[in-house]
Amino acid sequence: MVKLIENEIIKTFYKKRIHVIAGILLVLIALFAYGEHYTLTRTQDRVAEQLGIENAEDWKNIIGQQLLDLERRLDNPYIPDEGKASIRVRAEQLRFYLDNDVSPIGSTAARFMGQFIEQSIFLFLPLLIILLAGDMVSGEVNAGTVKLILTRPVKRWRILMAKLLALSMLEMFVIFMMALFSYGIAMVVFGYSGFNEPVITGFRVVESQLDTSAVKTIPQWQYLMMSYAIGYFVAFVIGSLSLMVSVIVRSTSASIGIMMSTLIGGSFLSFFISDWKLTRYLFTVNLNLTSYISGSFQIVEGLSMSFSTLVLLGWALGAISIAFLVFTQKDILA
Amino acid sequence: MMKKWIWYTVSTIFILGISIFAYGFGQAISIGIEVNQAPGIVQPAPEMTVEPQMVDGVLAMGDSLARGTGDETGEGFVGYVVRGLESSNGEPLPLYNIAVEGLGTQALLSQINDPQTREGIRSSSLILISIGGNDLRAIERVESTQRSQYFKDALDIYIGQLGEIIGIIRAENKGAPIVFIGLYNLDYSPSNQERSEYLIEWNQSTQKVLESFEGTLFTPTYDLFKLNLEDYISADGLHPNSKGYAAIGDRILRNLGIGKMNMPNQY
Repeated sequence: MVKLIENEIIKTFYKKRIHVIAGILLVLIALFAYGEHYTLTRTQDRVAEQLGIENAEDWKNIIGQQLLDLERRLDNPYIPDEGKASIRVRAEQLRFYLDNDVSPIGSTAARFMGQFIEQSIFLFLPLLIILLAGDMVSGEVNAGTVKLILTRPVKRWRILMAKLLALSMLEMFVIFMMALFSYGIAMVVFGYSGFNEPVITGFRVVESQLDTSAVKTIPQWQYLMMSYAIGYFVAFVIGSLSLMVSVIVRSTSASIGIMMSTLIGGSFLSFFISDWKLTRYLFTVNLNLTSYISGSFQIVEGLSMSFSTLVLLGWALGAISIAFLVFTQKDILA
Repeated sequence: MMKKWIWYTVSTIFILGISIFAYGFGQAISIGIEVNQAPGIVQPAPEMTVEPQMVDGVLAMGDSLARGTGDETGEGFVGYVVRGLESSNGEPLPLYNIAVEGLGTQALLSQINDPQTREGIRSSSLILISIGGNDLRAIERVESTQRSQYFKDALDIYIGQLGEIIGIIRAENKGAPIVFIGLYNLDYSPSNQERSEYLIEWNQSTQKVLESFEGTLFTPTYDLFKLNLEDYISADGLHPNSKGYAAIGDRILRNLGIGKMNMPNQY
């Protein structure tokens, strides 16, 4: 089995899929970083103008002010404990900026990495994975090499299993590249790593409203680990779906096309989430998992991290089962 | 040779990745559990809920000036006034400050309508208010040809809201004096005539509304800052600093006749 997996991975490399994906990642990350840098200077000017900051040192005074105000509010006995959590985490963030001499307006490599995965998890990352996985089976059918594989004395399901596992490993490789490239490019552009910076998380929805009573801070590196782990999970789900489509459809272009249009078309349906209950079971609307930990999610009744995770898992397992069923039964040789 | 390298690299990265993945996912889940176990509230408390009985204390409300933003010591004119009263009376005075930075008059009106705030108003012996600055500052973002109309509309709305606010306070508390501080200018130069005129008219209209109620005291700040901008404004260029706030607080205390305290609870 290990040999089979190894074989599959090498095949992918030879098809230069990974190279193409790496190239796309590099270009996009570089553009994103440059764009961020560009808007940064303009944002700084705007903020400086608004607050009347004469020079860069003044942000410390302002932060100091805000921190003082927050700390006084924490001492206020008239605020119930539940309301204090959001004040406390904001104060922690401000204290960090002051203690470490980091301007909250600037950007750091860690922040950039986080932003990139947050932005790409629901569309860009799936597209890359579709590119990777889309022709795992249909490509071989097209090229005719599938006949060579199937004539060997290896059980069919083992072949597909090897492809699936190889895919899982390659998805990890893509995530790794994403992390590496975004870190590298961001370090070049921004310079400061900022892995210890506190990030606020712990948002939840209680009775259809954003509840911030249990928010807490975690260091940036921990937040990144969580985000990228979630990213891998999404990659795995999309990969499984692509594999299934690739097994069912015989043409590579159709396979990739179907996945892409489902992805993009499906995201439009997220408009109807609140009303048309059925749409929330689509995989496309549940892809934005990182938004649950970053607090930027849309509040919809019943939609939560666990719900979305389970829905996606269901789709993945379903897709894998169908893929195996079809691959072992279908007459591909005809 | 190359093939082996590819295989080794990918598998190593996979093994590393899976461990990180497991850790990361585990973290996300444990935070999720931790978060769900913490007692929650239906709405995040917006600064407001009152529990204890406030008896004969000072109530401060409004925007960042009432909050004391810009004051290095943190007390603002509110703290200054309270301290002044305490040393004059010889006994501590509870302070209840519900001001919020950036608050507009509409938001203050909503805040006042909260039953808990009303309770606070009922049991106060002095009320300090600073509001309107944020409403008027919005005019700077309006195109210059439309400013004059915008100002008229904004002023009308503000006067209506102010009247409601003072009305509600008076309905809950007939006796406590209401002190309202006026707006100052950040640029008194003659070239900025338009701005000065708006401020002056705004302040005058405010005073008129206040005078239509009993027991109110409009305390101007316009003149206090005119010659002292350098000394009285904090680093952010907008709020007063400690000295600036002291000047305001000082004027309020003198207006209240500190030393000769006269704060009846019933008219």
